[in-house]
Amino acid sequence: MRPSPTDPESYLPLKPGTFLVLLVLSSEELHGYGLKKEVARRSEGRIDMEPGMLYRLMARLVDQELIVEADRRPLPDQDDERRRYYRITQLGRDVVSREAHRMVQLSQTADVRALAHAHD
Amino acid sequence: MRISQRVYRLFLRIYPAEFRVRHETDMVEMFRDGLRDRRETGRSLMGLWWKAVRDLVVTGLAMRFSRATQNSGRSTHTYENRQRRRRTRVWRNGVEEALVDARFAIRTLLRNKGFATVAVLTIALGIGANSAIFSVVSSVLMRPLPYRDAPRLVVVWTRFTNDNQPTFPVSPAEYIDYRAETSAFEDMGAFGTSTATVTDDDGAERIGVASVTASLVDVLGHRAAVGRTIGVEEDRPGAGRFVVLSHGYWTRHFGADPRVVGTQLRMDGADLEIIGVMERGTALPGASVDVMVPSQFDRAGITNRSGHWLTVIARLAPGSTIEGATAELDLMLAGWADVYAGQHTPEPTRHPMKLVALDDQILGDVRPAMFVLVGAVGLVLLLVCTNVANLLLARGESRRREIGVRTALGAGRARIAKQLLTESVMLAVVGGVVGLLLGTVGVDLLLKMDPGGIPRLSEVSLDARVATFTAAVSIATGILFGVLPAAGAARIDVAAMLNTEGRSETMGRSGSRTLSGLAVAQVALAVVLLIGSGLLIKSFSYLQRVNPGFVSEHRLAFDVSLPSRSYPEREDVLGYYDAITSEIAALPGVSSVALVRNLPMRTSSRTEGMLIEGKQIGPNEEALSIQYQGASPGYFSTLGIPVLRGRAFLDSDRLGAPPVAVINESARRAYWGDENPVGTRIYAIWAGRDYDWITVVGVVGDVRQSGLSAATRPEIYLPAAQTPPLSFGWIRNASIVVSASVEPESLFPVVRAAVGRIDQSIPVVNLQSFERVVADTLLRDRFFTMLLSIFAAAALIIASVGVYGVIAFSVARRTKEIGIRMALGAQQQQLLREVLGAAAKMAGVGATVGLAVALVTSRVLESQLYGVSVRDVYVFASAAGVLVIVALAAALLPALRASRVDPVTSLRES
Repeated sequence: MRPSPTDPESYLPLKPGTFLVLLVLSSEELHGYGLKKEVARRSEGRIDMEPGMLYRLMARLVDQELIVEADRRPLPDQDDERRRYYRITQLGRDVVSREAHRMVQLSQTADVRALAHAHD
Repeated sequence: MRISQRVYRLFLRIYPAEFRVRHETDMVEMFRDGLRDRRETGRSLMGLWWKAVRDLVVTGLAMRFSRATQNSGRSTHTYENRQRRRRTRVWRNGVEEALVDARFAIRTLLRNKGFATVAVLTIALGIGANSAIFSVVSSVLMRPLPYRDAPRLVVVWTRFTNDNQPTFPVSPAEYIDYRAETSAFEDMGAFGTSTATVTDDDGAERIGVASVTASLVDVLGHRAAVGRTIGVEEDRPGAGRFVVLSHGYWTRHFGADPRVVGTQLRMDGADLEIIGVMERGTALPGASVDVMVPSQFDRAGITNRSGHWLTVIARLAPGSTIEGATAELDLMLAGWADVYAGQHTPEPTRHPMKLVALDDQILGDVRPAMFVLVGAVGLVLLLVCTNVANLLLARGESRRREIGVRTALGAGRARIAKQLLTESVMLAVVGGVVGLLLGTVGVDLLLKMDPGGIPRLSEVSLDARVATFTAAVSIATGILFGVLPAAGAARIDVAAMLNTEGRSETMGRSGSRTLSGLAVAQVALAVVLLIGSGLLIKSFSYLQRVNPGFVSEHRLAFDVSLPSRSYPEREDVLGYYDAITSEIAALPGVSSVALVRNLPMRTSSRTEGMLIEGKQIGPNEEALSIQYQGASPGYFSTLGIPVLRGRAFLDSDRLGAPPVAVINESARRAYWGDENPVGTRIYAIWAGRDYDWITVVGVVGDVRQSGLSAATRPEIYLPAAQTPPLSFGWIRNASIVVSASVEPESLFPVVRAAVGRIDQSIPVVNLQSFERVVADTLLRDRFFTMLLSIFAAAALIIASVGVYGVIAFSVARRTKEIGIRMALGAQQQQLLREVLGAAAKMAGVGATVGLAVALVTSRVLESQLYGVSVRDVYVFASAAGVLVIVALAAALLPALRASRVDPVTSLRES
């Protein structure tokens, strides 16, 4: 079912890639390649987004109004003007913080902790 | 980097249009960032490409499916959706079905990874080879020539019918008169090429010069990138000395500095004003030049109607044709016969005109070779198709039960056929994408092998046309090899199918027949390709063994050219040649040095006319045509050309001494027959009316002057020192040949230095070992031979895999039968013979068909062959033999497997 724009909960759970993209965008506006690198860094190289995957995701997030294309660009001499930058929306922020909350909650449950310790 | 990006952009077509429009730039940017990162960190690009292609295929296909199926996707449970589905079903049915098929096909293929990989790789190879060759063909043959309205351009040649020259340049007087007196052409222009020495602070450089008329610039549609081109003003006699630079020379020599316009270029000791730079890609047909100067013809000042050195290009007037224009020229020439009676002038019988369409002129030579390549690579693709069809069919046979079940459950036959077809098209499309990638690599390889002499090869690139071609080929391939299995599936008898308890030990008669038919086709195709490459290889080995008539080992040669400003008189020129020959002869490692006007293999000699004293020379008093060469006394011994009769030149054959000549063996045979030519006298028409009769003093062996495959022609040598005054200008451009006792390459620096010691302003041009000169003439033959051999080798491999596949498949199916027969006492040897016999039969039939096809088609190779018949028995027989042997070898493994079937195991399995 299509998530409702008024209810952040309906977007959850997020896929790891989606979560990371929103997380990265909630602290800065970025273009495609910057996002790819930042996502790779935060996931310690486990999530490597190729152009097709990334822009397909971006198109979907824009459709769902979680992000928008930024109209503001960095100073012209700082970067290539042709690049499209993305910015997170208020809804996006809500969604990513609910997800974070959900994860924290999840990690606090006793059985999850037990499982995590079993891994140590 | 640019080509990678272009290919990537091409691949983006996988995505739906609206997505692509929106994100294309960003994605290409991102890909470029990736490229740059990889390059900076020195990691391989293969990894990046692999990831990119996987990403493109996965997300691209996914988006296309999800888009088209979004209404019939997961949320089917609501009433609303059901309604919507019902409404759209009628017109959506087809699309939906196709998508379901596609998804099913992907799943099936993913489940059979081995099969899918083999099939995709085979198709990719076929399509990759095809797109690489097609790129070359499309750039060389199909892209329009770089001239304005090129289809209406023709080259105007003259001809001498008493001579074998099919085309000959035009003299300035003739050109001016044609231009003034014809109406079949909109306009006409002319150019002649020469070389000149440019001197500046950095030293001296030899460059190619074209002298062009202003009308030529207009006819070809040349434009200037900077400054202006040669116009009517500059082309007026006495207008001054101007030069226009080619884009390449401007970039190379002046670092593309636009401020160079208006400055002076010092060429052959004179200062020329640089008035402009041509656009990039500007070319003169068949010539590569660095600068252009205006011809500044002065009709009033031209009295001599001979002296043929112009290439004339004309633009046909609207509505006029080559035939019409030729007729008009003939009419005009008939009139000239009276006007210029007694003068050298064109006329319709002995000295007519010939018009050749410009594209025929430029491409006529390579066209047949290119078509052979296209044909060959097409055959490879056909082989690939049969091979994949084979694979699919074999697989289809083992899927009969699955298909049977689906038919029993109500799937229509057409539906099942369509689904199998989808599978094969899917394979072909993926193969096509990978193939395109292989194609880019292939084009790079082809360019690296550039043999020279193929026009426009440097312009080759993958373009939209190639992509379209590849897409079309992929889909056609898919349909082609999918159609057989699909047709087979539609004929399945369900009841019989399911009755065999899920096992089909014996294959349908028609099925196994189709399989063997395909293998036979593969063998036949491979035989055809093998014969083609065999003929080329044989011809090439003949060419390599052709005796050029001289010794090329341990010889080196270079060109010099003396400007008339610093060497105005005959004595100056001969003095210079004396000086450098003795300077070089004194070098350690040099055995002898000589001078020749036209170096064998590099420049053909000029055709001239001569008369033999006391001979009847035909009813028309026609002169005998002969190739005119000039050489210094040591030339024959330096190149090891044998003196067959009489003597070679002596140092005493100088100006003032009685004029002498040496002829070659061909001239003796053609014009003297059984008589001894030594001591007879000839009259050289080109030397002018008041030149003496010349005494023939010797006969030398024939030299392959115009290349190894060109026939030798009657040739006459005059001593360089006795060059007749009228042709003296020519001796300013000559080649020096050196016989060395050491490796020729090791002498290059000292030879350069020696030439520099005599005159710093004369550059050494084309310094090469003579073996290299000879080898260079074979590069093009080597190129085509090699490509065709690669295709033939691929064909051989594919065909042997095909035969192996069919035999192995039939052995596997018959394991139970074989087991029973072994239990009943059949011998191992008998089984071995039986399986091998089946393979031999397939190979035999295939080879016979291939031989028949080759008999008909090998004629296309005719123009590429030297000394080999297009129906060379030896080549035909070996090709067939090789195929039969390879087929038997391919069948050996399955045959052994059959003979070792353990009856107990095979029977227990059922």
